[in-house]
Amino acid sequence: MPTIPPSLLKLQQQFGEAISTPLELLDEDANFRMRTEHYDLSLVKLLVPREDLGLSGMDRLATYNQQYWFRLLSTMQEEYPLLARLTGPGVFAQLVMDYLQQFPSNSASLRDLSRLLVTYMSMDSHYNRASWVQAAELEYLYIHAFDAGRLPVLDLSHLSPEQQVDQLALPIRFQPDLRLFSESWNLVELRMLARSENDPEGPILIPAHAQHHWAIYRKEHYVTAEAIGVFQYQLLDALMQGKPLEDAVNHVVEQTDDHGRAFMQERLTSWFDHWRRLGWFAQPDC
Amino acid sequence: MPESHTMTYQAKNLGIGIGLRVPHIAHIIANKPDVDFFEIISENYMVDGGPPRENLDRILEHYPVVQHGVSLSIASADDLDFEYLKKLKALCRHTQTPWFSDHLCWTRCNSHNYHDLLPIPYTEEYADFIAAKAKIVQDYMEIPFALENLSTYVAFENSQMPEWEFYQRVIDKAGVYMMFDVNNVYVSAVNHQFDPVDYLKHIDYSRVVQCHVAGHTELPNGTLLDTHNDHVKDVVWEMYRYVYQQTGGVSTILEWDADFLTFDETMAEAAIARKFQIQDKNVQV
Repeated sequence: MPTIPPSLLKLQQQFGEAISTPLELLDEDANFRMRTEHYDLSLVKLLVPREDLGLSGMDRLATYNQQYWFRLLSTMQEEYPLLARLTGPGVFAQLVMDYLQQFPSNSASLRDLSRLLVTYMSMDSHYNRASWVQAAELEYLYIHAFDAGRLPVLDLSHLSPEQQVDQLALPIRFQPDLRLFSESWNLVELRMLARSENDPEGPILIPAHAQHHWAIYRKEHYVTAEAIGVFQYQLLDALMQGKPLEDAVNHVVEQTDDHGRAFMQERLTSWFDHWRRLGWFAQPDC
Repeated sequence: MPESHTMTYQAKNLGIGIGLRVPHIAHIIANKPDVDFFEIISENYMVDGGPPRENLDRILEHYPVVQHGVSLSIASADDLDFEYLKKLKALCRHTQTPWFSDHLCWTRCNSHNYHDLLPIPYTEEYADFIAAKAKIVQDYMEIPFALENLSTYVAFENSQMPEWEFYQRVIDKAGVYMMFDVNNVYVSAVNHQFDPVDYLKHIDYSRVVQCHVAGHTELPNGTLLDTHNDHVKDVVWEMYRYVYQQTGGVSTILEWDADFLTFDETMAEAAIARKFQIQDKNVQV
């Protein structure tokens, strides 16, 4: 590898620091100004002004500063439509800037921008409101499901009945996009609303307490949420942790009463048939 | 692939295409319109799976695809990212792109990715540093590597040469190729008050494997931004006429990345290029 010119490294450090200087929010509607006073003056001196346009080196650098945050904020607004509506545009913009100051992007892909958002929000007292954190968890599952790979779907049709029984004694392999989500507010419903309205600056949404369980997965070319009952959630959770079917069923049964056991026994076959039709199971040997 | 800059790679002229963008994909897959080729943003497809990869495979069944990247960061003081290059190479093999391109810029420093195409001063030291990296990249990738000239919004007092000289020096020293963006020349020329004709007259067109044309936006303060969200300006088409003539005919992509038109409208804009593809040795810029 060629020797790195020290002056290039210094310049890029200064330039990077300047263009990622957080914007100053002026109001709750996310109007802002660039904090050009924070730019390193030794860098600004290196920039050619456009005197005919009245543009100083600082003004010209600010173009990059503005572009940097507009790109990242618009990406996050697109990926986190619910969180943006729960917090309001000003708080959301501040959250994104605070988060990216703490955890700058280290990936070539903007799809990875929010990889540590939930971690950050959980740690920060300004943003760790439970419904916000849970909304961020949900929206990250949508990102994950959209980008996840697809394995061949489980096909037991070529196996004999005995082989099918043997197969079910092994841990079940799920499609990589499938994730379970247990919500304490009506977040899935609100996310659908936020997506359909497509207005990050729309009125703040107030979540209502509601305990629901969901399977988030990719159906064709979009990600969707399938409502599941608590027993289905527990069973799928146990299976996704690698428990063989019998152990997973026993694990759930142990946590319920006679009524629950009867309920599960009655529906177990139809649940599996439904999940199979949705393509959630993958071939174990691929 | 050529092993040194003394060898010339005769890039096939694939015709006129557009950048493949999400709002058009369903239409393309459903209708299989007559398009010479598409250009993809490599990073959008360097994922494990999901709709982007599935759609790409369907596009590849019917169209040639060339790859254009935004995150190689060849001008960065950071080392080359071989994990990134490994994924890029795998995608290149999958798409069978005849060449791949990225920008003569940096996007990353100290592992912080800025997701923007950032400028550097035009010095001999930096040109030679970048050329050494570009040569490594092309050798590793085993297909021709083309660097795109950048549109910039700042210029540096310590630059030692004009942009075209810097660009040509990197290309020649590395033995790589040019992805020549005509709109970028115009944007930088306006922003930095140089004559775009000077730029065009100093380029070795034997190194150009592909052209870009696109629209741009003027900010209230007079700065032009390379936004790819508008029609190609007449002056840029006129520059393209000269460039196309000088290259002897080269693959051309219209980039349109925001405020999208319908697919047919976008293709109609790209097709304007045909009017300027005149093989006439008397063409002047």
